[in-house]
Amino acid sequence: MKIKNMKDLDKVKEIGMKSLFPKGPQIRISMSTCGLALGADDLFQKITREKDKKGIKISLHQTGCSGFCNLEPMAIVKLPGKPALLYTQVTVENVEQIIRDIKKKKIPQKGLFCMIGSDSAAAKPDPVLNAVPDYRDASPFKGQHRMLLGNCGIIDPLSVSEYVAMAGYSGLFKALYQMRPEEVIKEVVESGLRGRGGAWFPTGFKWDMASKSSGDEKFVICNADEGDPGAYKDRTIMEGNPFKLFEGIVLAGYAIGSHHGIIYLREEYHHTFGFLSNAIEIAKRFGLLGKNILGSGFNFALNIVRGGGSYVCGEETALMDSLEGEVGDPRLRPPFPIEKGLWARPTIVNNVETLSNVPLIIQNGGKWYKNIGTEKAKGTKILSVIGNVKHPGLYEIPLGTNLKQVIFEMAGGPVNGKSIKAVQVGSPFGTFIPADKLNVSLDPESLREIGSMIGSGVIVALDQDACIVDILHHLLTFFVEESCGKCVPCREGVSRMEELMIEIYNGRAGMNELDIINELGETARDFSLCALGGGAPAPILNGIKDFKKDFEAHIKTGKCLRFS
Amino acid sequence: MEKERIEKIVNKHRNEKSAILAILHEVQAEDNQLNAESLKYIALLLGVPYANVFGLATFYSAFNTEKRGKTLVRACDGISCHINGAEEVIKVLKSKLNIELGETTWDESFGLEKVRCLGLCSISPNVSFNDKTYSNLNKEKILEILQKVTGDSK
Amino acid sequence: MIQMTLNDKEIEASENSTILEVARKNGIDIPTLCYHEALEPFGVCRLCIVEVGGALRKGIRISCIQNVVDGLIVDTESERVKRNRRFLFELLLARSPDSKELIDLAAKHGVFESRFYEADSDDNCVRCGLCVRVCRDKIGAYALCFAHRGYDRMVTTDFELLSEYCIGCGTCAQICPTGAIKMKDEEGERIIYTKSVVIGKFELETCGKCGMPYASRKYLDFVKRNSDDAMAVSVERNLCPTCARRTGAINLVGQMTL
Ligand SMILES: Cc1cc2nc3c(=O)[nH]c(=O)nc-3n(C[C@H](O)[C@H](O)[C@H](O)COP(=O)(O)O)c2cc1C
Ligand code: SF4
Ligand code: SF4
Ligand code: FES
Ligand code: FES
Repeated sequence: MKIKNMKDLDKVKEIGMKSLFPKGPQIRISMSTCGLALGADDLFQKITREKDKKGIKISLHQTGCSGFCNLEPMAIVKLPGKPALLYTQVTVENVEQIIRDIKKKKIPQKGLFCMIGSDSAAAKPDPVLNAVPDYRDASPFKGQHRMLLGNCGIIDPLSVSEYVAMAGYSGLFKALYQMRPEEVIKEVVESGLRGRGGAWFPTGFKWDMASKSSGDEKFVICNADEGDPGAYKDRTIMEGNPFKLFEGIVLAGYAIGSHHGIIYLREEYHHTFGFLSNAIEIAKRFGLLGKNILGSGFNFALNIVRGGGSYVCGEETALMDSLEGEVGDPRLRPPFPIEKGLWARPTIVNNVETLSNVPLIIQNGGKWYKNIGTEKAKGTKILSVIGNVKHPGLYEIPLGTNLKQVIFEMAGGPVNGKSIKAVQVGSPFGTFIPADKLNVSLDPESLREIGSMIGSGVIVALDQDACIVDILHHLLTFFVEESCGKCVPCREGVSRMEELMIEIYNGRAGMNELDIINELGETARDFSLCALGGGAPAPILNGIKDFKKDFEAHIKTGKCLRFS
Repeated sequence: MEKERIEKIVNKHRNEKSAILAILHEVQAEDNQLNAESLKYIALLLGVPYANVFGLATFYSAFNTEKRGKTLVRACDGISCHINGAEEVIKVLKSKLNIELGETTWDESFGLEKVRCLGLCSISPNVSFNDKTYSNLNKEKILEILQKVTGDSK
Repeated sequence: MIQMTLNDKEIEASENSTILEVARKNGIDIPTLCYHEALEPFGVCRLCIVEVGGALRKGIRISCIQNVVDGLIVDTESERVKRNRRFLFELLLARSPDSKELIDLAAKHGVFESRFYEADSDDNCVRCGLCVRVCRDKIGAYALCFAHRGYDRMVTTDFELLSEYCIGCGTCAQICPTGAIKMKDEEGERIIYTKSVVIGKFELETCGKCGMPYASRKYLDFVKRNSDDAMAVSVERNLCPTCARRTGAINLVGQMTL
């Protein structure tokens, strides 16, 4: 059915409510890339078989990833009159018991992690639940502000009605029926939203300029290349709540006067590609993409293009070259994409997370959004905390949250009684912050002050056993492999830095070579054509400065601290 | 690959913007390679110069101009996988398959590649065998998986 | 016209020109590898860096891209420029230690050695892209491309074989700043090649007057297709550049290339 007016939207919403709060028992299995890697497929089949065997009616749904892949496979069990319950690391062996319990209207105990929405009207207290925390109080969800990830892992990501039941498409409806494009831009400007792809450019400002550029055609590109190793927030949004992203993309199109959007998707995300293609077809069927969106007369086509496996293609101008069927080399600027972008038409490029914020801003107003975050950086940021912490995963926090709190409280700190040695915020280009300087606010300005950056939000925690020389060598190899090779400072300079780092790693070089790495780094930083070569030296130069001991060990003994 | 097959794929995407990437992906997936004949024919059908498609096929890591193994093993060496022991896992893969990264086994049953993040960083290290991904790996686990997979493919 | 300062000298310059153009007009030598006045700027060798101030935010700019503005102050030889330029030269020399052209250019700017020499490198190509761009943008033949990426990026033909598109004009060899592409006319045959690939191989047509072999058939066809009637007529007469000049006919080969 196509949604053509408010009445249709309400009808869809009602269907969604029924499916989220069913009369009978319900199980939801998280079936994203991560769930599938850990056996969600088998689990789903086993439950299907088991419930049929036992002859009970249980509605079975899929959900996306909640950001904590190490807790997968997750399942949500909803019994009549009880709050929804989240189970983690559910295995095929647990299934029979779960089904038996459900048949007896009993709450399954094994793997029970937390309640979701314990205060919702449908909930009746149950003594078994006394010791079970609510989602908001259960680590690792505790302390988060999950306005983007909130629905991920809970709603069925391919169900338009469930998304609508969670207030989805109310923003777009409002924009298309009650707001002029300029007013949409005004809200986004007011909100203070800045790009989450790494550069933190003010989104409203970009849109405003693009809306004023003239062209027979304009493009909205959603940057889903998610190239920073360690990042999977965009995947999680796309697989957990794709319609929110689509809503944001259509809003961007409406705002700047574009009727064509492209999602440029990371090549490695095979499952996501099929999944998103499917989601687009569904959105079209509901009249949420394509012609006459929500009955408003506004048209917007969206398609997905898969990248070819190249990090630099996440850089917006290289991305456009790639879309044009060329090798993905960054372009010279000016001209800027907002004037002459894809096929020389005005184009905006925005990250998945950036665009997913927009429906919330339109729905609740820029003023509301502005209340979250710091003076200069508004809203939340999804951090991908990885490395040597107890609970690696995605943490959506208000900008301005303290880094120490994220590492030690939210992510549980180091494992096995070890201590944290350094944390790299904004990997791969961010610097390694030594353990005694972690008391810093997570926002672009505060991090810049200490010579670091927030980037796309990848946070790498290293414990006492890690060796900075090893990590820097790893990073340099990455930069060299992913350089496009267009400009000399990056192609030749960063390659030489890597070469020298290998010599140092193996104890075949000394302080003299370190000095040369420093100088090469400055040349690459200052004269590279794009931010890959320009950004690569920062962690290297700072690492050399702040972690002398690690280097001394390699230079003197040729041995890595990791193995001693 | 047969010309008719290529024609079908090209025609399916012809009117799309960015058709060429989609076409290269599809031909690569079906034929496990983008050899000179296929690339030339694609270029001819799309009316783009040979040099252009050759540049693309060699620039992007997803494309190969030589035949690639039937089962493509992609070992992640992103930062999270690296910290959690990808080195060891890759070492096992190399020695058991008896090939280096970027190579294909002599019988074309396996190809081994390094990737820079599969988006499963909190359950690292990860390795994917075609579309099946294995997570939380270590030396023992990858040996076990290899045994199963190589057993299956024989 | 605008007023600006170039290496401490007050000068006038026309707007819409780049710093590089203005400097060259005023007799100041800025080294370049990827720049050619007949092509769009590419901005990849970074040798043309200069330090600016005044009307533009103080810092380093790429002079082949940056346009001049009124009140601009430019220093083409500041300490910072020289230090970084030296690094870039060293990096290039390391990989192309045999290129006489590159050695000369570096020497002219005070760089005689590199700290990074790579063992056995005989690759004269500096990836400036002039050949690829001239072949594509000016000749329209598209015989050359960059293949692979990063450090392995190289200039080659489609499929690294004799190009089906090359017309044998030799413009790439002529424009290459480091002698990495060579052209040889021998015994009535022309070959154009790099160290790793033969780009084109052609039988040469002989001059209608002096009998010298001078151009490939494909190239003459190309000239005929792309020129006005008067020129096309001269092609029919089959004159080599020397005889064409002598007889007062239009110098086709000279005209059509750069
Ligand atoms: C080497 C490099 C890689 C990048 N990769 C990505 C990426 O994977 N995803 C992304 O959104 N932005 C990436 N960017 C940033 C984009 O160029 C661009 O700033 C961003 O997509 C703009 O969107 P935003 O304003 O919403 O952040 C990358 C930049 C560079 C220099
Ligand atoms: S900095 Fe590196 S990636 Fe960027 S254009 Fe230069 S060579 Fe390419
Ligand atoms: S062959 Fe010559 S012209 Fe072509 S890129 Fe290399 S150095 Fe430049
Ligand atoms: S770093 Fe290996 S999956 Fe992300
Ligand atoms: S001449 Fe300016 S960058 Fe090469």
